[in-house]
Amino acid sequence: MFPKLNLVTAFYIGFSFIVISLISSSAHAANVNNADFRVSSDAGYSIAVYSQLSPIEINKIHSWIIEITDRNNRPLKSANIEMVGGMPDHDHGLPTEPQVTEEVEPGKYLLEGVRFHMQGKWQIIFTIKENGNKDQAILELQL
Amino acid sequence: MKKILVSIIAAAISLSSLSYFAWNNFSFSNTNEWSAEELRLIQSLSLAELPALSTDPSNRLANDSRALDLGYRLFFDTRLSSNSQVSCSSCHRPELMFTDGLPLAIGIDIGPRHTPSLVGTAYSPWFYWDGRKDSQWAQALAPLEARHEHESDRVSIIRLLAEDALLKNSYESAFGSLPVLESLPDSASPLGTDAQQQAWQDIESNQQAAISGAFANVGKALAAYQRLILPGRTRFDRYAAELAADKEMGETETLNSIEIAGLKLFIGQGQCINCHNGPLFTNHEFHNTGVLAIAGQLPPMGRYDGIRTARKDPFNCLGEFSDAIEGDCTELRFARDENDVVGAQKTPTLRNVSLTAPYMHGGQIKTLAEVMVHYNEAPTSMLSHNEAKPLELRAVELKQLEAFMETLSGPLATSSKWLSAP
Repeated sequence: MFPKLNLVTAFYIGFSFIVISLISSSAHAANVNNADFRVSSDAGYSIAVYSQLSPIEINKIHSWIIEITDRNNRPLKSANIEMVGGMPDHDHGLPTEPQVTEEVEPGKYLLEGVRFHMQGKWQIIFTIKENGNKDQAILELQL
Repeated sequence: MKKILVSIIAAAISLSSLSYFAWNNFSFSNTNEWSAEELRLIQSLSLAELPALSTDPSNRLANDSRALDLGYRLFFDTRLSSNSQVSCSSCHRPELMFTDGLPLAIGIDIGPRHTPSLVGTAYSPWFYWDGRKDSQWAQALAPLEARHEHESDRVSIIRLLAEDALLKNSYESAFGSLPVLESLPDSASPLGTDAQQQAWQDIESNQQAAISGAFANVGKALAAYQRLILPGRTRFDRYAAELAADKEMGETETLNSIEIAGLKLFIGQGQCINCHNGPLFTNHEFHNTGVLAIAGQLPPMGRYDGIRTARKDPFNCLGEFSDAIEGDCTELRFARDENDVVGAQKTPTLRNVSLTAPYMHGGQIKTLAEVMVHYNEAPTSMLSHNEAKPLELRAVELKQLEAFMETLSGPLATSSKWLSAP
């Protein structure tokens, strides 16, 4: 269910982004602005996640805006995005089934129904299908 | 020589027994220091972190004083039952933190589930042990028509409102006119006996909608009252406040060293905080923790069935009797229904837990001490899998956890005038 992460990068950009460490997630990550993330997919798409609940808190249902650009930094339009996730240490999934309900702008998608019900390390897998291509990106976050 | 050998063996046995006894029963932890992460977790459980109750988009009168007045009267009114002896407060007894002290609820008859506390439930997105209802008002309707609870029906209840001047006035000031009842049978419901169901089918659909709408309003009034049932500050919350002011503080008059050791386990090795998190000590979610099936019943499907029932419920957030728009109903629209919720039951609050025995969805476990043993052993689930893993805590540590549970009780933050019948 949770494939090995080998091509995942996570980096800090500007004020609104935080570092997501793949090796040792800081136990204090929830104390900073734990709401905006950026990861790259296996095929090199850039995925920016903006939580509309900032910082992310447990037990509160909320939405994310997901912005995807291709390798040439152009918005990835009309993509099909699926999100699943869980806690690798606890062997369970998300308590909800979040879904993309709208492409609010070209390459910018509204993901509704996100909720986390435990503190600790979460792993989110985005599957992106566009024009016959299938791609994955993995985001780790510490709540 | 033989004698000496026997003595040595005897000494070795007694020494190892003594060591085992000591290991199992004496505390070795130093509880005078909290890490930054522990301090953060302790504050996350404090009642001071509980936000003010937000509105309920599905119930526009959730915070309305007229609806509250009606709901308060109805909550204690035994006329809402077939034998005029059962009210909501028969099982949700204010003096027992709105529980009944019984393994299984007893209304008109013995029910299939343990009565959960109502304290703080207005914060929950889901109701019933299996989450088959998605609002407090929709929940309040089901017991009124359940055969083992009130065994009443929606037409009888609307009739009662119409015939009692005080209730009629209270209802109509909040919700407007009651539906016209002339030409209707005395008793009818889509959920009742065969005769009641037949009588219901004989009613015209626009009249059915008017009756069900008024019935939904009864639930909304009951919810307006139940929203006031909120937890009050406990010894734990005072300790959290003291700790927020002085992070170096260890044992105090507020919590003793055993209780503090229990708190440390609660947020650490005991893993209790995984599910019993936040200021209400619940994540409002559903988990399979390998509790034995209720005597005489098959192991329940739990949340797997609950979410399917909630989606079909005409009184759910998306239904015609809800005041919400689709965008408000995110919990229902994006709820998870996969196989991993088979056998999962709702995490109850631990606030006032020492006052609300017995425990679990069927009241299967009598005491808190036995609950600690249950989670320490994490037995195999009869259906699907137990999410919890054995904790391997020592006997003394289970006692410390139990002692910590005792610090979570305190008087409700609800004015005493709402805690007894009008």
